[in-house]
Amino acid sequence: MDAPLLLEAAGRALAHLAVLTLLPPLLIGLIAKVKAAFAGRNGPPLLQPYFDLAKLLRKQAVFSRTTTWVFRLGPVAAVVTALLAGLVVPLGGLAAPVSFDGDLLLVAYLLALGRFCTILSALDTGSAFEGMGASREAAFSCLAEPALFLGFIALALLLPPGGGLRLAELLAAAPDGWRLAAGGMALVAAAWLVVLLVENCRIPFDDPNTHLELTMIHEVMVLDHSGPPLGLILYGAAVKFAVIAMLLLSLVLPRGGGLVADLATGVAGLLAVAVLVGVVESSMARLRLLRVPTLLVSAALLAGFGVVLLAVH
Amino acid sequence: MSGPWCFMRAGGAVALEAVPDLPLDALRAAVVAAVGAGRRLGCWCGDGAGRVYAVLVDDAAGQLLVARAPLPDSYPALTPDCPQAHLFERELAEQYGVVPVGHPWFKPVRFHRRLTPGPDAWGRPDDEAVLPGVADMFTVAGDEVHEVAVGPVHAGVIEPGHFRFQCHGEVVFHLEINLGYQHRGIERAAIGGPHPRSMLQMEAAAGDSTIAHGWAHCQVVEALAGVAAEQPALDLRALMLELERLANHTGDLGALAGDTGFLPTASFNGRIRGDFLNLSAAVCGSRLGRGMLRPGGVRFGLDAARREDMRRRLERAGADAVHSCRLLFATASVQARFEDVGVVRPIDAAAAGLVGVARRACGHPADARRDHPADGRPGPAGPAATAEGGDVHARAFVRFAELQESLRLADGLLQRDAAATPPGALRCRPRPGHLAIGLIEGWRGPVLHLGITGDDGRFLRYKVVDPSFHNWFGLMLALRDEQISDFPLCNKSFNLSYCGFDL
Amino acid sequence: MIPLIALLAGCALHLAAGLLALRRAGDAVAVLAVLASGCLALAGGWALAAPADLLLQLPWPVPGGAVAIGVDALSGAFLLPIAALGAATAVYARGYWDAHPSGGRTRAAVAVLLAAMALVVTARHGLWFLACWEAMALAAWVAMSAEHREREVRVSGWTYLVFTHLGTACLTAMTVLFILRAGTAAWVPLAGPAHALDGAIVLLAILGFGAKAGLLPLHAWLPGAHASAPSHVSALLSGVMLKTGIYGILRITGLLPEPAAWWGALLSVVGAATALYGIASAVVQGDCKRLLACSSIENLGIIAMAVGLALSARAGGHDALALLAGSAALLHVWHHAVFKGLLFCGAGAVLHATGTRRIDRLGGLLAAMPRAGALWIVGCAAAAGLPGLAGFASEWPLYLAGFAELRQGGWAGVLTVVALALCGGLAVAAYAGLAGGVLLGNGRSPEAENAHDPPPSMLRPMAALAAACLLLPLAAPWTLAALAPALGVALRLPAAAAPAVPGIVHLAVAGLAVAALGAAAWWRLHRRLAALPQGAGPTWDCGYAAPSSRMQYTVSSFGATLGHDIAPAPIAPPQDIQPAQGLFPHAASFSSRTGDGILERWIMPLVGRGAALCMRLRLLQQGHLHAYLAYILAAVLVLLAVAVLGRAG
Repeated sequence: MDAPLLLEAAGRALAHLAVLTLLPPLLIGLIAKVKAAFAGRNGPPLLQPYFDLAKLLRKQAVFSRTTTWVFRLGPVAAVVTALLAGLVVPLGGLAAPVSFDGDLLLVAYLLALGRFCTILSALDTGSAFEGMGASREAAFSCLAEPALFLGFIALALLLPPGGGLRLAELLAAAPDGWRLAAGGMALVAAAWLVVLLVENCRIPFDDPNTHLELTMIHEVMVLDHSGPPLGLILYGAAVKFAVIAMLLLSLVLPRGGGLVADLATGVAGLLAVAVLVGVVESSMARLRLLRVPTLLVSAALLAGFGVVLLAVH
Repeated sequence: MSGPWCFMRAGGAVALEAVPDLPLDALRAAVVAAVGAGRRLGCWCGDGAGRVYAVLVDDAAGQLLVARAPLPDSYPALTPDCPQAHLFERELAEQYGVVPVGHPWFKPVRFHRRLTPGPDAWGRPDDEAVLPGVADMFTVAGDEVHEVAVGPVHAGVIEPGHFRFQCHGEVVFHLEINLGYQHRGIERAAIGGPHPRSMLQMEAAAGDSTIAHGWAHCQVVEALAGVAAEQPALDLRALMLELERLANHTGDLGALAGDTGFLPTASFNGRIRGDFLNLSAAVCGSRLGRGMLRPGGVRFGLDAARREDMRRRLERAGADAVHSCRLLFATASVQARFEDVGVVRPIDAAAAGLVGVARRACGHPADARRDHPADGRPGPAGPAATAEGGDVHARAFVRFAELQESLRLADGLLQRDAAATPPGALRCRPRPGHLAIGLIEGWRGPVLHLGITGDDGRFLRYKVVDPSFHNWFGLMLALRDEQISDFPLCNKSFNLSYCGFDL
Repeated sequence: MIPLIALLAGCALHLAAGLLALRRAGDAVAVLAVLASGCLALAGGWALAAPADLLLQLPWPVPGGAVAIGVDALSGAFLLPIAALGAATAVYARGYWDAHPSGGRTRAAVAVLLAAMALVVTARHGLWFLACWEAMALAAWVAMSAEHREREVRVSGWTYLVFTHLGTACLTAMTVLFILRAGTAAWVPLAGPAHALDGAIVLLAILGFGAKAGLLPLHAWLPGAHASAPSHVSALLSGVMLKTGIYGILRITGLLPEPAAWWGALLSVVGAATALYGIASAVVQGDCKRLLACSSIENLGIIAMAVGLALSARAGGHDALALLAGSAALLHVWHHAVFKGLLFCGAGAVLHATGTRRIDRLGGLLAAMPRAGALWIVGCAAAAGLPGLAGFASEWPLYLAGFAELRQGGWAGVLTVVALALCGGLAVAAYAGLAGGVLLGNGRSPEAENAHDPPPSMLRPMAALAAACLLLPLAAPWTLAALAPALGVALRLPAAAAPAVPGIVHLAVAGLAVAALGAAAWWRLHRRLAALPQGAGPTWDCGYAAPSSRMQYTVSSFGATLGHDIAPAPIAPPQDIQPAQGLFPHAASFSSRTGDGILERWIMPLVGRGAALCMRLRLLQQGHLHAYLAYILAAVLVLLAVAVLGRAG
C-alpha cells in the first residue's frame, strides 16, 4: 500500500476511534436536551454527561462490605467490552479499525460479556433491587439477541455464497438491500431500532429518568456503584449506545465520500439517532414490564420477515 | 336505625351526657350491626380517660352515629367481624395498652410507647427501644421467595415509610406497609386547647390537605362553641377546598403520567398545578392555603376585581388541565399501563373501609360534600363521579371527572357576590363537656376531626382521621399478585399521605 | 501399534485401579488412574497426530461376534477428553469422595466406566460394541447410585436405566439391520451406492445414541441422574459419557457410503430443539447440579446441530462447509468436556462445603471459598459462551458454518444461527444466575455462612481445567486443524479438504485484547481509587433498621421472568402457590418444582396410560398351570397353522 492510502486509512481509523471514544456522552446529553425541549424546559447543558463523568472520577467511591472483586470487575468490563465491540463496527463510510472474518459475532458476544459481568456485579451486592434489575436485563437482552442476529442473516443473504463474513462487508451490502428489497431492509432497521432501545434501556422498555428502584432495569443494577466505578459504567453505557447506533446507522448512511464527508455524515447520523430516541421517549409511555417480551418477540418477527423478503430476492 | 346511638350531623356537637354510654359488648355489637347495615366506621378511639368512642358515618342519611363505652384492659376484637376497625384497634392498643383479643393482625401502628402509664399491649420491656418499622411482618414461606424492602429512605424527596414486598420474580404475593416513622404529636398538642397554635397545627396535619383539615378543625371548634360561620365565609372555604382539589388532582394525574414515562402530560400538569396553587395564593398569600381559615370565619376576602381576575385565570388553567389530561386518556400506551393494574375489588374496598377517590373508583358514590354538606344545605349537584374496576385507570378517571367538576364549582363560587364580604371571624369559646365532629371531603377523601372537651371547656381528646389512615390498606390490597414494577404507579394512583397517618 | 498398546494398557490400568479401589487404597488408585489416563491420552493424541487405522481383532466365542478394537483419528478425538477428565476426576475424587462409605465401590465403578468408554470409542464390531456399551451403561449406573439410600437417587437411577436400555434396544435393532445391510457385524466402511436400509440404520442410531446424548425427547433421565451422582461422576457423565452418543452417530454415518440430506436436517432440528429446551430449563433450575445437567443438554444439542449441519453440507456436496461444521462439533465436544468438568467439580466443592445443592440456600460463597469460587466463575463464563473462553471459541466456527450455509440458500443455517443466538442469551442468564446465586451476595442459610475452600487435591484439578478454559481458545487454530482427520473418518472426506478459518486467529487475539485492555482498565481504576478516600458501608438498604438475608434476590426469582413469564407452558416448571388470601392472610407459601416439563407433562402420562393398558393383560394371568399349558398349546397350533398356510401360499 502506498503512503497516501496508508495515511488515509490511518486517518479514518483515528477518526473512528475519536468518534467512538469522545462522542458517546454527547449523545446522552442530546437525548436529554430533546426531551427537555419537548417538555418545554431548558434542560441540562448538552455537555452535562461529560461534567458528570469528570465529577464522578473525582468523587469518593463507597463499596458495600458485602461485595467482592466481582463488584469492581463490572464497571471495567462494561467499558472495555463496549469499546472493543465498537472497534469492529464501521460508522457509515468510516471503516472499522479492526475487521476480520466473523467479527460480527464478536460484537454481540462482547456486549454479552459486558452484560454477564455487570449482572454479576449487581448480584454481588446481595440486594433485592440490583437482583431485580439484573434479572430484567438478562431476560430482555436475551430476547433482543434473535432480532440482532436475524438482521445479520438478512444482510448475509445479500452477499454471494462463499467468501468471508466481515461486518464491514455485511454492512456494505446494505445499499444493495435497499435497492432489491427496501421493505425487508426497513423491517430490519425497525427491528434494530428496537434492539437499540432495549439494549440501552430507553423508553418504551425502561425509563432512565425515573428514579424508582422498582421499575428500572439498568439504573437499578448500578444502585450501589459510586465514584469512578459509576463513572465507568455511565461511560460504558454511552459507548454501548453509540456502538449499537453505529450498527443501525450503517444500514442507512450513504458512504464513499472523502474522509471529512464520511466523518461528518457519521457524526450527523449519530446525533440524528439521539434526536430520534429523544422524540420516541417524549411521545410515548413506557411499556408494562410484562409486555416488553411481547414487543421484543415482535421485533424478532419483524427481522424474520425482513429475512424472508431479502431471501426472495 | 333504632339502637344505642346518638345521631348528629357533621359539624355538629352534642353534650357528652347525651352520648350513650354502653357496656363494651353492646357497643361492639352495635358497631358490627351498623357496619353490617352499610355504615362506615369513621373513628374508634380512646379518650385517654378510660372510654372508647365509636363514630359511624352514615352517608345515605347524612348522619353521624356516636356512642361510647368504658374500656377494659382487653376485649374481643372487632376486626374479625368488622375488618375496617383493624387499624383503629391497633392504634388503640398502642396508645392505651388495650388488647383486642383475636385481632388477626395485631402489630404496632406508629411504633411509640403508650400514651398513658400502664402495661404495654405487646408486653415489650420498657427499656427496649421501639424501632420504627420493625414488626413481625407477614411472610410468604419458601426459600425461593424474596423480600423487597423499600424505605424508610426513598428514591426521591418523600416522607419515610417502610414497604415490604413478598415476591417471586416480578410478582408480588403480598405487600405490607409500616409507617409511623414521624412521631408528630399533633393530636397530643391539641389537648388542653384550642390553643392559638392549634389552627396552624391542624392546617399542617397533612400539608397537601391544608384546607380540608383546617376546615374540619374549624367545624369542631365552631360546633363546640355553638357558633356558625357566615355564608360568605363558607363560600370562600368551599372555593379554597376546590382549588386545593384542582391543584392536587392535576398534580396526581401528571405524576401518574410521569410514572408511565409519558412526558407530555407529566410536564404540562406540573406547570398547571402551579397555576392552581397560585390561585390559592391570590386569595390568602399561601399557595397551600395556609392561614386562610380560622374558627368562626376566614381571614381574607375577595373583592370583585380580584374575583374577575381569578375567574379568568381559572378558566385558562382549567382549559389547559382538561386538554392535558385528555391527552393522557387518549394515549393508548398510557391506557395500557392504567387498565387492570392495581385492582381493588369493590367488595374488599367496602370491607376494608376505603374512602374518597379510592372508594369512588370502586363504584361507591360516597362524597362528604354531597352526603354531609358543610352548612347543611345540599352539596354539589348530581351524583359523585365514580368509576368501575377499582384499578389505576378508575382512580385516575375519577380524579379527572372531579377535576372538571371542581372547575365548574370554583367558577360558580367565584361568581357569588357574597364572596365579596369582608373577612371576619366570630369568637369561638368551646363549651365544656361536649363532643363535636368535623367532616370535610378533601381531595383525597373525607377528613374527620373529633374533639371532646373536658369540664374546663378545653380539649380532653382531639382525634384526626386522615383518609390516608383508611386507604393505605387499599394500596396493600391493590398490590396482591401485581407486578412489582407497577408499584410506583399503583402508589401514585392512591397518593396517600405519610404525615396524615403519622399524627 | 503404539496407540493400540497404549489403549489396552490404559484400559488395563483403569481396571486395576478399580480392583484396588475395592480395597480402598486411596492414593494408589489415583496414581493408577492418572497413569491409565496418560496411556489413553497417548493413544488418542497419537491417533490424531499420525492418522492411521490400526485394528486389533481377536476371536470371541459369541456367534457372529469378534473383538475388534481400532484406534483411528475419530477414536482419538474422543479418547483425549476421556483421558483428560479421567485424570482430573481421579485426583479430585481422592479428596472429595474417598471418605464416603461407598467410596470404594464408586471408584471401582468409575474405573470400569472409564475403561468401557475407551473401548466404546474404539470398538469396531457391532456385537463387541454393544457389549462395551452395556458395560459402560451399567458402570455409570453403579457410579451414579453411590448414595442409593436416598429415594431420589434410586428413582434417578431407575429412570436412567430405562432410558439407556431403550437406547440399547434401538442400537441392537440397528446392529441387526447393519448385519442385514453389510453381511457382517464388523464395522468396516461400506463401499458402493446407498442402500435402502441406510436410512433406517441412521434413524435407529439417532434414536439409540440420542438417548445417551440427551437429545429431545430422550433427555429426561439426564438432569436427575447428574444431580444425584457424586459430583466427579457427574463431571464424567456430562463431560464425556454423553459424548459417546455423538461419537456413535459420527461413527455410523462414517460407515455408510452416502449421507442423505434428511439425516442432517433431522439432527439440526432435533439439536436446535434440544439446545433451546435444555438451556431454557437450566434458567429455572433451583438445584445447581440439575442446572449444569440442563446446560449439558443444551451443549449436546449444539453439538448435534453442528453434526446435522455437517451431514447436510456433506449431502449437498459442500465439503469445506461440512468439515467446518464437523470440526465445530468436535471442538465443542472437547471444550464442553473441559468447562463442564470444571463446573461439576466446582459444584462438588460447594456441596462438600455446605451440604446442599439448592441455590436458594446458598449465596456469598466467594468470600468463604475464594479459590474454588474464582475458578467456578471462570467455568460459568466459559459455559455462558463468552469471548476469550472455551465455550465461545467452539460456538464461533459453528456460527460461521451456519452463515456459510444460509448464504448457500439453506435453511439449516438460519436455524443454527438463530438457535445459537437465543441459546447464547439464555446461557448468560442461566450462568449469571448460578454464579450470582451461589457465590455472590449474602449467605441465605447457616450452611452457606460456614463454608470453606476445599483441599488442594480438589482445587488443583479444578485449576487445571480452568486453565484449559482460558488456553484452549488460544490453541483453537491448531486444535481445529488437528481435528480435521477425525472428521475425515466421520464424513468420509479427505482431511486436506478442511477449510482454513482465518478469523479464529483474530478471535484468539481478541480474547487476549479483552484480557489486556481489561487488566489495564482494572489497574487504572484501582490507581484512581487508591488516590481517593475510600468508603465502606452496607449495601443500600433504604435505611431500614432490621435488614435480613431474605431481602436479596433469589435465583428462582432471577430466572422467573424468562422461565415463567416468557417460556412456553411445557417448559415452565409447575408452581405450588398457596396465595395470601383474605384481608388478613394467615399463611401463604410458594415453591416451584423444577422437574422436567417434558417428562412430567408428556412422558409420564404416556407411560401411565401404557401401564394401564398392560394391566388389562393381567386377565391372561390366571395363576393356573392348566391355563398356561393351554396358552402354549394355542401358540403351537397358531404357529403350525402359519407354517402350513405359508407353505400352501
